[in-house]
Amino acid sequence: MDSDQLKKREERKRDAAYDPVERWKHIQQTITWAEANMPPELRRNRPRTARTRSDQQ
Amino acid sequence: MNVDEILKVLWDEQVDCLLIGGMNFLIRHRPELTFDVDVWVRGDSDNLPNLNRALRQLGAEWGRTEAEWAPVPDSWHWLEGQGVFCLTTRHGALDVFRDVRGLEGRYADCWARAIPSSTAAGIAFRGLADEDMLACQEALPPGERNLRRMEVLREAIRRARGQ
Repeated sequence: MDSDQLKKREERKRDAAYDPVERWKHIQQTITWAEANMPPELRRNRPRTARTRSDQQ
Repeated sequence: MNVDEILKVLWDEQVDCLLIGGMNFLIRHRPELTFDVDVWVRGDSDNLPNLNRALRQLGAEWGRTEAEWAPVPDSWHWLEGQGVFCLTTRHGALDVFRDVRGLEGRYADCWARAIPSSTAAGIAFRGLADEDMLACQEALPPGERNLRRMEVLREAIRRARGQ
């Protein structure tokens, strides 16, 4: 079996064994973790400096 | 998935490994949909016992077949059986590679080039260098390559070389 076939077989086995509730919890945790670990300029909820009226003048 | 916990246990158990794949790319470059942690481990008899201890601490499960799926055994020798293992852990999915396509037999070189880094929570790890991530993609059949990732990596390599 070559390495690609082995990887696909391994993924199929894990998919079958993964508890769906656990998997869903892990997916949600991953999204939160990914957001916190993205390079700063790509984070969605990064702090931004509010523009004041004097900035606009 | 609690990526920090997985990386922390690997670090605490002194597993000689590199973070590869989508998580490594995400931390260093761009968001990318990925739901497992991929690590490339030094696959020798000094390191595999440490890896097995870490896996047991993470609650890892694996089986030769679906019917044999179970917590990983006490003895580390099962890790010698093949080049890649896709496991579940209580913190999420973990892929362990003893060899990586495109970088076969070059663990020591890749480790030396890898980037020491840490997650937002301060968990230390070493991540595969951009040149080596690109080599992994180039080794894939054309239809399986992640073209966006390759483009970002080429640009990052060009910038790092000051071109």
